[in-house]
Amino acid sequence: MNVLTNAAYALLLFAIGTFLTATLDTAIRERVWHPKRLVQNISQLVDALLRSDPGHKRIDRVLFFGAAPLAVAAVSVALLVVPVGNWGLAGPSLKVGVFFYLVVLDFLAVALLMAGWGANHKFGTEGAFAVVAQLVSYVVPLGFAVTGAVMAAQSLAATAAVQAQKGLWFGLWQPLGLAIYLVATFGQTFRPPADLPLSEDSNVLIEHHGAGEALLRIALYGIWFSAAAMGATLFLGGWRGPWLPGPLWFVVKTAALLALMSWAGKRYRRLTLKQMLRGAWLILIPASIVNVIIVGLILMVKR
Amino acid sequence: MDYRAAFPLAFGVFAIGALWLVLSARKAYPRSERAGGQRGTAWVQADVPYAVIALLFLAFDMEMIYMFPWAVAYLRVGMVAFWDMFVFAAILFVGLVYAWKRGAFEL
Amino acid sequence: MSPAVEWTLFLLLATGAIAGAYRMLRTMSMVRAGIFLMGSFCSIAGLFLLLSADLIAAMQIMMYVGGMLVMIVFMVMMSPDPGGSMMGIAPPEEEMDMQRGSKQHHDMQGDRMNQSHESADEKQYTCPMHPDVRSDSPGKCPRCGMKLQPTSGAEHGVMEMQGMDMAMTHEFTRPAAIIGFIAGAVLLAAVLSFDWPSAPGLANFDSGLIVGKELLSRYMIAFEAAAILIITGMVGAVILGRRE
Repeated sequence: MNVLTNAAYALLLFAIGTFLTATLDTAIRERVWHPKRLVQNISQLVDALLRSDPGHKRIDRVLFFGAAPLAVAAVSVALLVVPVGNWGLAGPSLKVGVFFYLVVLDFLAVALLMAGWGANHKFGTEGAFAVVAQLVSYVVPLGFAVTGAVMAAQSLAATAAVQAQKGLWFGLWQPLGLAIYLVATFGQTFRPPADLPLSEDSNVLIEHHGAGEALLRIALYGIWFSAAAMGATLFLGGWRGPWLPGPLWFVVKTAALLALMSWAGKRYRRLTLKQMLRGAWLILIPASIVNVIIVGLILMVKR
Repeated sequence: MDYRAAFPLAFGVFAIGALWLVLSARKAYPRSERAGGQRGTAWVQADVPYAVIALLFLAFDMEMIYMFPWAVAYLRVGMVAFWDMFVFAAILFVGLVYAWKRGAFEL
Repeated sequence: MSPAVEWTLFLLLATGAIAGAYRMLRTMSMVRAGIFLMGSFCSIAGLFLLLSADLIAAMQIMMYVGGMLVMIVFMVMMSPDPGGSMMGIAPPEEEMDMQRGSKQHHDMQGDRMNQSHESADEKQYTCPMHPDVRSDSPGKCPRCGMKLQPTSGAEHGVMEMQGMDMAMTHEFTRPAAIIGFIAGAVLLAAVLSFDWPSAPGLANFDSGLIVGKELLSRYMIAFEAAAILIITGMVGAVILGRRE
């Protein structure tokens, strides 16, 4: 029953991760720490999930209704490769886990494109093309930043990366890599300040209500969680740590990255498409290439 | 087979999600939704200012694909691997600079 | 993995690959076409996974999802009706009202078409390639032999759009389909009758490591040549994309 346990692991991680992420994000952005708020959020969510998402007469039914299931399916598969602890559940056998994860990010963008275009609304299509622009610009620096960790771990498996960080966290001697990873994550997961496709007049979720919209928002939280989790795994040592059990360290490190990004989203104004594209191509990508060279040199010298 | 769980997850979650949505949308569109958001259609030919950037992405996508296996084998192969990637990255860097100088990023 | 499960997955993925390609050919929406082709390629990536070719599966998905997204962007830029709204996918509301027999006069603001005033009671037929050919009964166009299509206000206006040819079909559909079938049958026969070399599967391997080592030894020249190829593409894209 290995398949079922793995699948259950991913789904459970999805549920818990999304819940924690949403809670943390709301808490930081609205400075509310009261547990009553949590319960409110849950009931709101359940309410939304039960409401219908009919679209309107001129939607593209395949794209409109296919968007949310695709997004949710993509995030579930992404979480399959995130190692929460040394349990040998999903982790060890996925030897190209990191690559897998990057690939699934693409699917979320496809889902958002479908949602925006399928809605047959001017704002939706604008949002859809902003989504593609961001995906196309930020997946490259993300991939290059991750390459540094892959080089150090000598494997594309996320679990290997954790094992290889027995001594020093990768993030400590690849600070540029970690920084690029985090910045690129904003662009890839459409978190503020890089959330142009979710703004008022360029909004892929336009005409989506009820369950469909709720699922898409859940998927967005989920992908953000998975990105932070992957970042913690590749650069902050994952579940490794003294005294506390693995999963707890995992949660702490992921939460730290989430909190940092949440704060940044509150602090900075929303970026325009021009800023995001120029930032990615003229700063982030050259920096990430330089990072790979630096990491390569360091590794050669350390040998 | 390592990725057994990926299939049931992907198919299963997708199917359940799709079923949920389609079932919940069975009822007729409410009167207020009839007019839709706008008149006409949003699916029109539109200029996409970042088209050239999309093509550049394809080039770098290929570079990324080469980079991953290279990165895995890096330490096991030695200095030759470093120079290999240096040349590879330098060539693409030149391409990026060329695109920049030619105004591909002047949106 | 038990044979039953493997067979089920294989059949599902193979069907997905074929269905995706079929839907892509039949759809009138360019965006849908891109998505369906993406689905077809991802099904193939799934087949790679069934064969334990995990690295190639990931590469396939990454390349084709990215590629299809770029293709969709370009289709929106290049084709007059990227969403298929003139061709049956979610036709504009006004047209649907017309078909229900109302004789309202519609004024589509912000729309590029000229709506022509057409009574919905009489059905007219026109040739998609020759809009001036009209007939009250279905048949063939006297000029090109294409099947006449019923007019609707929307199509009408579209045909008047600077005389652009919006036809998605042409008179070679049937010969093309026949040639396609024959080619497919020949290929299938070739694939089935060939004696494919088979090697025992590796037990526990790291695709990334294997491919990486090959790239840095036997295929190093190809590795660097790929960089030259890529930069050629980049330069070409920049030159072609330059605005006058």
